[in-house]
Amino acid sequence: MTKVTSVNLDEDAIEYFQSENINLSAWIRDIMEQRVTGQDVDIKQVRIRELEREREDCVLRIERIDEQLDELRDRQEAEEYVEEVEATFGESIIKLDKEFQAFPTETRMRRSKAFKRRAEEEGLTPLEAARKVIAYREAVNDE
Amino acid sequence: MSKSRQTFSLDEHVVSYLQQDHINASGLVNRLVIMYMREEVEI
Repeated sequence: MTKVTSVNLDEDAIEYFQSENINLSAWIRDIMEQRVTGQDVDIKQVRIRELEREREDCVLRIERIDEQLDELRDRQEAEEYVEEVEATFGESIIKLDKEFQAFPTETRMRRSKAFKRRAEEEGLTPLEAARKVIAYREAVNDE
Repeated sequence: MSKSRQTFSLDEHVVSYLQQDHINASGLVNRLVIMYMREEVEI
């Protein structure tokens, strides 16, 4: 069970702990525990525990950095893949895909008069356009 | 030397120890800190 207490610490002591990157609370807990339980204050042991805590913090920090790196690299890879797919299929197919999101199949697109008209405007036959839109969606969804 | 009030969460028995009338908690902690800073014991 923990309880809170306050002490007045010298400013230079606080600065020292900050500059040495030592967790002051943990250090105080450690050294006071030894003092209260009547053990001689063993600075080496305190420092070993401090370094162990610092090491654990570093390991956790590296893990968090690795997670962020993985996440960012995955996102970068996904964006590059989408760009690659978009470059392969061209602007007209991307536009048709956006305009006809509500048409999930090749047949539904080909039955739509609006789709036929738009496909022709893009210089494609409705069959060709519908197949390319479906292939584009599959490629993007594969990512 | 300027001082700064610092608050810590400690085990209850440690706080009880520090709160005894004959214990100067701030003085004790500062002494231990200074001892550590001066590396009076070779690490």
